[in-house]
Amino acid sequence: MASVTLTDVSKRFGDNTVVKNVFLDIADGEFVVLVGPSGCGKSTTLRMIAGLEDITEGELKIGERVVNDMTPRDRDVAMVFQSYALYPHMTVYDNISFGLRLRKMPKPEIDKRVRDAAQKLGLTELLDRKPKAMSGGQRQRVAMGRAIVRQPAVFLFDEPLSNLDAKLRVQMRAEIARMHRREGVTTVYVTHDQIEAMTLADRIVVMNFGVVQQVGAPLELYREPANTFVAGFIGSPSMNLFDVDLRATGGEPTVTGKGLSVPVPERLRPHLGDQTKLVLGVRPEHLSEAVDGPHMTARVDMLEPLGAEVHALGDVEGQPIVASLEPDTAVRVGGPVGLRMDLDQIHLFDRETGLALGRQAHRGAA
Amino acid sequence: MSGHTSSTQQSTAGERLLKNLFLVALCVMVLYPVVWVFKMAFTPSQGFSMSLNPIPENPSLANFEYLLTELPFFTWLFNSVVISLATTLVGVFLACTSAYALSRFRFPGRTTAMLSFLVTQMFPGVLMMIPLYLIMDWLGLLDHLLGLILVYSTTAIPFCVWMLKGYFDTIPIDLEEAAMMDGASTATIFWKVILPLSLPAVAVTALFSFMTAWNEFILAAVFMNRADNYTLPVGLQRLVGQFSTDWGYFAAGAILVSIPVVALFFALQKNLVGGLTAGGVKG
Repeated sequence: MASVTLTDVSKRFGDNTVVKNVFLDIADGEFVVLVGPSGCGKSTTLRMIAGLEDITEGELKIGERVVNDMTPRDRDVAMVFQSYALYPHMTVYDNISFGLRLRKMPKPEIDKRVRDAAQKLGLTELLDRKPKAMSGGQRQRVAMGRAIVRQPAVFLFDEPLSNLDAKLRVQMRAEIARMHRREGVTTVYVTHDQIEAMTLADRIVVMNFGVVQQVGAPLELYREPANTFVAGFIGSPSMNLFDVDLRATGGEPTVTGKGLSVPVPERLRPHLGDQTKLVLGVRPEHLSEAVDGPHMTARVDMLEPLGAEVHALGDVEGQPIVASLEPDTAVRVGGPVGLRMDLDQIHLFDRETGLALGRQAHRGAA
Repeated sequence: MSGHTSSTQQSTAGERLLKNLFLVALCVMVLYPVVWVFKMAFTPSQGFSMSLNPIPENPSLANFEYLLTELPFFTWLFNSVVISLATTLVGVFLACTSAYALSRFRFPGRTTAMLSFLVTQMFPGVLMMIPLYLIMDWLGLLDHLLGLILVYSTTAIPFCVWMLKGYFDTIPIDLEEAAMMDGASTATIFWKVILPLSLPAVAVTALFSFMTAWNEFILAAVFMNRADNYTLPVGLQRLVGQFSTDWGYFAAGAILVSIPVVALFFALQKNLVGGLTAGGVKG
């Protein structure tokens, strides 16, 4: 087991910088999820840790060793691929034991480890099968088995669940969480699925355009997004964002946008600077129907009943909005709905930099 | 629409008969010469029988007996087998390794190498005869089995490289990265992961190399001067004299020569089909 430390790590392909100045300290035994949209550099970062991509600039340490110039096999890391990447011509047993055999481990020890891993993953019955005779979930488990038997210092996962159907995905997600609790091995996990990120991670690293946007515990990212990108990316449905202007109305600072106007809550006032062009963020679940004194009125054009709640999709004077309403709401498609924000839960961002008021840019971010 | 369908169905019986007659005629056209070779091989006279009857009139094994006892047939067979097997081994090994490098590594001259392999395939082999003869003479390999092995391997390699590179390209890179993470070196990846997965393609290229060497006549005839260095095709050609041709022996020889190739074909048949289609489909 080991910590993983990235210091000012960058990756360029020709003139194209895909990972920019990443600083990241992953503690021993921690489960860190890299998340972001396609092409944000999360997979490249993982592959640099694995040793499958060269590091253009910066320093990568696993434990106390600088591993920049080490081959994957000397780094003591194991990786689970999105495509599973099982060797099609080998049985499950041979797939799992391949790495151990290459390390010339004694046969009885190999056998013990393989059977142990197979038992943990429910693969004992399948050890003689070849990959093509197995389902997606079983293959996924073999890929995990191949990583577990190595007892590496670090586990790397590259979107391991995205080829599975929804139900299996939930199952395997739980399995990965259990595995991490049991083995306690430092894990770096890449996904574009924020639910996976929220449910698995000790800490989440949100990336966009090769730049780390924010690092934090799942709820921290949800409660205190550092910028408009994280605000929009974490949480489902996404946070509603409105362009607003800061004004002082009768001595009280107020933000006003198209069709809405709210006083700036007490807790945000110390962070107000001379910047008057702001973005107001409010999550769908922090909006509620209001009969009198609504902050704004939306026109509803779609309702998504989910049972425990109803998502009302619509717009406020042309600005799209989603609100999460009570299941017994009387709101109808085409009708107006008056909405109140929970003022304790709103966010204000600088429109120019995108940063939350009172926030500095993440270290390494341009 | 339905009326149209039923009318097609009605005419099917007659159409089917016509189609089958046509196909049978084609089969006869293709197979008759082969049958005729068999007829000559089993007919003891050495003349050219003009009768259309494909059944030998008084069948005998005399031609085979003559070939196997009066001619150095087994010497020629030995030469052919040694040359063909060695060509296959050398050619396939070099083609596999270079195709893998061309498929997976990016290095200066990669495209040029691929193209020059292709360009060599555009010239008829006869063009290379004189330069090859000079080189062989210079190396002192004229009239040596090794000389032919070298020449056949080098001429077979470009095709084999293209064939194998195409196949290697379809093997997902993830597999190699997984092996790398498992601690495999490039050589281990090649031998333990890539080659076992490429057996169909290797089988096709091996068969191609073998057949090229086994059937080649012109270069062998030019380079080999002593009768005990002849390959089978060269030896058999000597039966075609300037004034008379011993058709019976020739036909019997042709049958004997084709037996190993046919046997190989059947042995590799399953892989061949897989190998030839595998280029297009992943996995």
